[in-house]
Amino acid sequence: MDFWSDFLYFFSFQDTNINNVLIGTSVLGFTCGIVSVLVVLSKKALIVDAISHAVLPGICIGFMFTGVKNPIYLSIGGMAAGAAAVYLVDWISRISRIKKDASIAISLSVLFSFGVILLNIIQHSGNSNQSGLTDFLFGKAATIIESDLYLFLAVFTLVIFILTVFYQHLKIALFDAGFAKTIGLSERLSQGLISGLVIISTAVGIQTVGIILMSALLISPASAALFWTNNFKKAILISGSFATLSSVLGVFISFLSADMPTGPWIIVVLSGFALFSAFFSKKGIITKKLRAKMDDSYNLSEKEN
Amino acid sequence: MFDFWIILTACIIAINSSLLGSFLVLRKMSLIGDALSHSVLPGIVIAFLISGEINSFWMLIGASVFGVFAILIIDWLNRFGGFGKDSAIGIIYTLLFAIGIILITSIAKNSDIDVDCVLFGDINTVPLLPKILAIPVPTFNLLIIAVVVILTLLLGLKGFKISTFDKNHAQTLGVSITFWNYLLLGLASVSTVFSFDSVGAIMVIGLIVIPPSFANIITRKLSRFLIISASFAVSSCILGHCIAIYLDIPTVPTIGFLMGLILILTLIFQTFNKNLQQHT
Repeated sequence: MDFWSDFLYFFSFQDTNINNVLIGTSVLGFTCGIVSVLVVLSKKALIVDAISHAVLPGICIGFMFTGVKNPIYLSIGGMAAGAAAVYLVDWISRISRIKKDASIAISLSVLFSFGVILLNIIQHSGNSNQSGLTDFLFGKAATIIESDLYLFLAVFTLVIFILTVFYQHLKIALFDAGFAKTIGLSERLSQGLISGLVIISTAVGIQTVGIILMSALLISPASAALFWTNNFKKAILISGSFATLSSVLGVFISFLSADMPTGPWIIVVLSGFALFSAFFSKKGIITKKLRAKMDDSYNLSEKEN
Repeated sequence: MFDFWIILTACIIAINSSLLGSFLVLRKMSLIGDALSHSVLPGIVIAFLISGEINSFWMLIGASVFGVFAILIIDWLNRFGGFGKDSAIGIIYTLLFAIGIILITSIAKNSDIDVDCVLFGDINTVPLLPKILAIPVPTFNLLIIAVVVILTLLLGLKGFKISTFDKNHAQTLGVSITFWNYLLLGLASVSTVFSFDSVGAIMVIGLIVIPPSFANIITRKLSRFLIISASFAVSSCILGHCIAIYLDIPTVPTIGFLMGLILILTLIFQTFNKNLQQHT
């Protein structure tokens, strides 16, 4: 098959398996793209890394309790562990001299190490269900099945619901913390909401791209989007579209060649969007340089006249 | 002898990472370890593709090149590209790591580079590797790096100290902050790459951050800080390996978990003590 027949086959949506993967990654991509805006604006970019690494022990404990690889139980375990990570980072930097960046790295390595130990114990326990738990490390986008989709759609709905209900609150808290304080909006509520959304989207998002690459899915889309607009609502939409588009392209590339992994390609495309925006958007480096040059030549020609 | 090499290798890595990590933590650059340890992956794979052999010196060179490259590009994006520091780190290391995984799963499919190994490392294979002067190769390399790191830190202690704690003062004295910054990052990058090979990414991150943070809550004097940091790292490695053998679990994550546990227990104890003193 050549490229165009592959292309037609892929985008005619005949194949249910491909459709499941495509819908699954797109829904997750859009969800993470939305949450990404909150992450970048509240400068929580690196705490995502701690959360996603912490999800590993959560998933292991979820599996140890239930003995089955049900995505719902595993995600609940992951969310609990993610919340523990947020608390740990906060606690360490609150009660000691240890700075926030160090406490993020501490929580990350402790919880991930714990996860690897648990994983090892599970692998030696002889439970035949355990095979595939390591897929969480690098994502398992290619194996998304219909029952996974319901979970993803539920999370998507939840994120949209929370965002709509608390839209004004979050907007004010993110763009003008001082004003938010003056009018008595609870900072704890907004911080808690953001952390909660990050934890939820991380716990399910790692199913497509895996633990290590998860932070890209929650950092890059908004970093790219915020180069194009300053408007909160527009940023959310652009960021969501970047993430969805990357997911579609990532799935397509891995469909073209059996050797190509889905998750990493989603991230490469997404980072491509972010770097492209940094260079060529209205606020981009190259655009600014070009405009400066054009202004210069304009001024010169004016003077000559 | 088997365990001896494992413990020795872990301890050398611990000393290198915790000493360099001390300055990174004090400069609020802890997450550089995170960025570095993931960014070197494509370098390792590309060097493997060119040289065709695993565990070669070229792989380490390739990795070091990518480590330095990642640091430079993060710095550049942060300064001129309009990205926040967090975002720049987050975007670049995930991009490089993703490229590395794509290379492994597609082009370098038949290599022995194992993606799991990249994260966890496998220190238990160290004694089985070829030897130079009766020392396993990774241990030998790490020993050389340890000598370089310790000598540089001893000779340049003043420079590192002044450029870490008082930038303004350093500038008035004509000390180049950029020079010391890049010297530190260069050393950290090479040391991370060589350690990465044996203990994996996550452990390196732990060794760079946890021992210095432990020292940070105990002392404020730099010389004591460095000594506490290194000895905490070394004793955790020895104890961690013993526990791992006793419980029959892998060494590397046990050391990481143990270090974190000790740190957290110390923090709890300190807070408890403080509360007690306030009440009496």
